[in-house]
Amino acid sequence: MAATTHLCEDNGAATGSPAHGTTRHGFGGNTDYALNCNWKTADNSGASETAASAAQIGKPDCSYEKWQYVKFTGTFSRISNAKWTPHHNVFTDFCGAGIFLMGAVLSAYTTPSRTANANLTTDFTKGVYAYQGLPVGFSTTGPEDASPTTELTAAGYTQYLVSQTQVPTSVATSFSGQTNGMTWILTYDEE
Amino acid sequence: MALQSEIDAFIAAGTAQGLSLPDMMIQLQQRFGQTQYPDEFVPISGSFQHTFATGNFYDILAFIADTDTAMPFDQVWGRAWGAAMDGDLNMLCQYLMQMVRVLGRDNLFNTSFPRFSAKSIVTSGTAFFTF
Repeated sequence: MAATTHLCEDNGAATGSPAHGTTRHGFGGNTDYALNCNWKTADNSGASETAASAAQIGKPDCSYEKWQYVKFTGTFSRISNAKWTPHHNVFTDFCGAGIFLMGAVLSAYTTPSRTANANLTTDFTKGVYAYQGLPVGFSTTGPEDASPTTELTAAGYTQYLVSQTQVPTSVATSFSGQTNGMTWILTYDEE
Repeated sequence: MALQSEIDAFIAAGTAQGLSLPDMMIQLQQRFGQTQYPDEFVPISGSFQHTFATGNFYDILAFIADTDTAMPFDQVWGRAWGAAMDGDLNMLCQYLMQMVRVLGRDNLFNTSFPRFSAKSIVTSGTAFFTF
């Protein structure tokens, strides 16, 4: 008896009520799951996503937000105590002085854009331990559910786990290259 | 039981409960005082007496880094996680064996997995910049 987890992602314009992405990787019966959390200047995911190296971020600039969530299926009695960080166990800066990695756990989807999302209020630029991560709610209907619960007792989803890289004009130096590798992690208890 | 056999048993027990290698890393973290994590890691630079007093998992890894590989802590920890995520049993076992040498085998392997399983889903993230 064990839950099965998959990483999912919404992309494209907000649609529906409550709003979610037009393209839903991994939602419901879709199995084109998100494969990573690469921040880039292309709003896509799944097996045919644009490589991060082909969608580089400039200055001033931002990546599109990553609107990701986790789908729980399989057999379990209860999923609870979920914590999330997109930057676990790396104690150096995200990339260099002045570049930010911001995040939030949200239910209200908005169309991804390359402007800084003011709703992403937690700074993950420096690594955050998983146990210090943001608390995450659940829903059996979708990550966009406006009334998430603290535990899941049937197949369902987390809220949106949203992150974005932001390069403000104030970054003084030039930079060309790739960030150090990072671990995106959602921890939870399963019964 | 030989050390390698104990490590094999540890991994087999976790696997039987549906835990991935990263899940097992989290289990190990939680055995060494989750409430004692420092807000931000500070290298201990060879003075490791308090490591054993507190049983702090991160300090233990720092001790390993200090004495065994001389690598910065973030690299050691990153590599341990990398081994777990890659399913690299050989490298992960090396870290576990070093931990056993530091802690004593009873402290590491004498408790069974709790009924509540702290699990995880992990993926990688990166970005490219040009400016």
